[in-house]
Amino acid sequence: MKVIACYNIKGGVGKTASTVNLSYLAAREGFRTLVWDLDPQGASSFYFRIRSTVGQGAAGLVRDEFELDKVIKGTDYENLDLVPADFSYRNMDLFLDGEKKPKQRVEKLLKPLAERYDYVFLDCPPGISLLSENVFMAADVLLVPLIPTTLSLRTLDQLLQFCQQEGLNDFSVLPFFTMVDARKVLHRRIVEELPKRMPNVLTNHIPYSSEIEQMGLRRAPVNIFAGHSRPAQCYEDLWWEIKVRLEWL
Amino acid sequence: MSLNSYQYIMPRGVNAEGLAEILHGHGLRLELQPSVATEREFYDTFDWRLYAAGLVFFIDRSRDGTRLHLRALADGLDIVSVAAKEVPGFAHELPAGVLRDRLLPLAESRRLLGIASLKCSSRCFKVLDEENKTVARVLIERHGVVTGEGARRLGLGERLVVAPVRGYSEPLQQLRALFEHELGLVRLNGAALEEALAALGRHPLDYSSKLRVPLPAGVTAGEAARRLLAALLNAVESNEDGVRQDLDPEFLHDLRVAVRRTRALLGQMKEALPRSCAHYRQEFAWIGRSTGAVRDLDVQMLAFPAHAAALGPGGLGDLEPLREVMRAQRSRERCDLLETLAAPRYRRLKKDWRALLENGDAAVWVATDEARRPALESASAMIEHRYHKVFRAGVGLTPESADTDMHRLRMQCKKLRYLLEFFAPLFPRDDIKSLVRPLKALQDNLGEFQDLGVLLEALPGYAERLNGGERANRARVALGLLMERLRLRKELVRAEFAAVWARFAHQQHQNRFNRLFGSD
Repeated sequence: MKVIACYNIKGGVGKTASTVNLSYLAAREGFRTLVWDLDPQGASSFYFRIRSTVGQGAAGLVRDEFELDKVIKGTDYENLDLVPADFSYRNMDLFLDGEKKPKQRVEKLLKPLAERYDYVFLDCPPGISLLSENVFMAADVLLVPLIPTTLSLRTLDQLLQFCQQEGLNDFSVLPFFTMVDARKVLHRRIVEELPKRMPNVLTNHIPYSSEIEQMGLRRAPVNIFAGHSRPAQCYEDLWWEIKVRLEWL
Repeated sequence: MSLNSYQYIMPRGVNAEGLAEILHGHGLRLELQPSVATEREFYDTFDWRLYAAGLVFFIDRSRDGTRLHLRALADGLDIVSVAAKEVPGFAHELPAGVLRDRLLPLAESRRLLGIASLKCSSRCFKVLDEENKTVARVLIERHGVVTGEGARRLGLGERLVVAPVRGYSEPLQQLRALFEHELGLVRLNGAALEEALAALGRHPLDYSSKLRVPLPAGVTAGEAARRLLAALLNAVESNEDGVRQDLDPEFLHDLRVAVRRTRALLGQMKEALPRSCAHYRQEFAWIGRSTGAVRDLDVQMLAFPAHAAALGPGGLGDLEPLREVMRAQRSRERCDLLETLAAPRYRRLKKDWRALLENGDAAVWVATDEARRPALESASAMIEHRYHKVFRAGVGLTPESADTDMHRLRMQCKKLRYLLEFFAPLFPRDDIKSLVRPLKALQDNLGEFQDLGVLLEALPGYAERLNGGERANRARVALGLLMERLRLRKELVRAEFAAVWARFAHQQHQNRFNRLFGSD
């Protein structure tokens, strides 16, 4: 089982769209795939038409009151399951802080599922918190969607700096560009320049497109309702590249 | 992810509209999907490796696309279901993924063959919640088996299928309660493979490369030999088509094993057999010789990628010209093999041999004292005798012994193994198993040693047939490295022999042999 976390300190960079589309592509290839919607806003759950819960999910999971298995829901797609978001995830840090080994809870919760799934995608909320540190401990790969803007690059640097300070080097950081607008000079320049100083950056990127925006309306992965569109193709190429990188790990 | 589906015999007189009415009546929100026609084709290897491992592999083709399914027999659960354009000939041709990971270690070099086809029309009701999320599916499926002649269909009746969605147990419980308790429907299992095969007059596991001939207690040696030889002739004939069509290398392997077992039995039981068997022994030796060259090349080519991989990422590519020479050589040898299989001599051999085994004078099989002796006694004596021969051939071997001595031991081991397999039903199963295990390990060691020797001897000959040019030069350089590795590997295998032999010759096994087969 490989754990792929879609993470960025910054919000609104396309984490959820990427999680939904990439996990769907993995499942379509027959890989047994699980998405864990860790963001209390529950956008992944919404896209998959699965209601987020408003219970005490976070506390229950953190305190071992029930297993992750008990809250898994099947999506409308074969091989693709989801742990829906819970509104109580907004207080996750509080619950985590009261536990032993508070940085390893997510990893521990995923462990029993190792034989059942080939890929687990974690859709993470923005910010750096105790929950993000849990994600860093559990993940094999940190996929970092980046809009090619100066602010976005700054958050990537912050993330890398944080990982270095904390000695977190058990996972690969794979940044990739989203919402790329080829008409903007700045976008073009950043997409071209960043890989030169950071060879980890994935070469495939996702263009800015109305099809991705429509995901909210259609409540489905882009490959379902616009399979031949450019962004759908781009996600396929990106997924292929991620798989190749995973093989190198 | 797929879960156990619940299948029922569809109640008579209820159609889709009727079912929708029933479901609506129970407060379920439904969305009726358009009717889908699916063609389902089941695949397995010729020797049922997937079914034997508890798996059913099939492809469903419908307007919505084509999907491959690997399903567990035990619980009807899809282990993996993946979109695909076609079924590949071999598991290694599947795209990387779970399906390939599961199938390749089982099927290995065996071709995936279509074993039965179904035509299925299905209508699906999605059961929805308030978010329009599917929380269960109810399907009405109608299956028909496609038979070879004119694609005639044999109806298998209608099934009602409830396909649950993980995490939504309430709608599943509601549907099960409705179908099982209120309507009293009968539950069914499986993917309809057994039913499809039964309609075609077949059953799963109807071929195995293992020899499985039941021998009743008290059977005479002559009768046991006749039964074994008849089963071996069936095995030869079962594999002929696969050899002719060159479906995969195992058909020829199994055919040759059946021929070799036949020869071994004719040789070792000659005193219990009709006199005319001496002639057949020669004829089967001819088949063995005529099929040997292709098999040798198959063995070499199958092992080649693994050997070449040791040379690094470019190894196999560099050696490709050599493989081309081997393929060309194999094509030539195959022509000779096909001529043999088409020869009147071969046809006559099989016809006369079967007549002797099945329709001939039964008295010839009990003509001698040895033939009338109980098979148990006769087998014990033969196994004891062969065991001592193996021992004599192996006990003095040192790292300096000649390759031919190793080969001699290998042949004796084969003969012993065949005897143990022929007469296994007459002895306690666990005893035979624990004797075969160290023998098999010994044979594996000797077999690899022999194969490496043959390959090392053959490679320079192939290299001579390489053309000039840069590609050929690269191939020669790679070949030099490859041969060096093969020599090292051969030395290693030889070094491992002592330990493998020691395990085989362990006092505990000797005691077991003596207890089971000893004359005193």
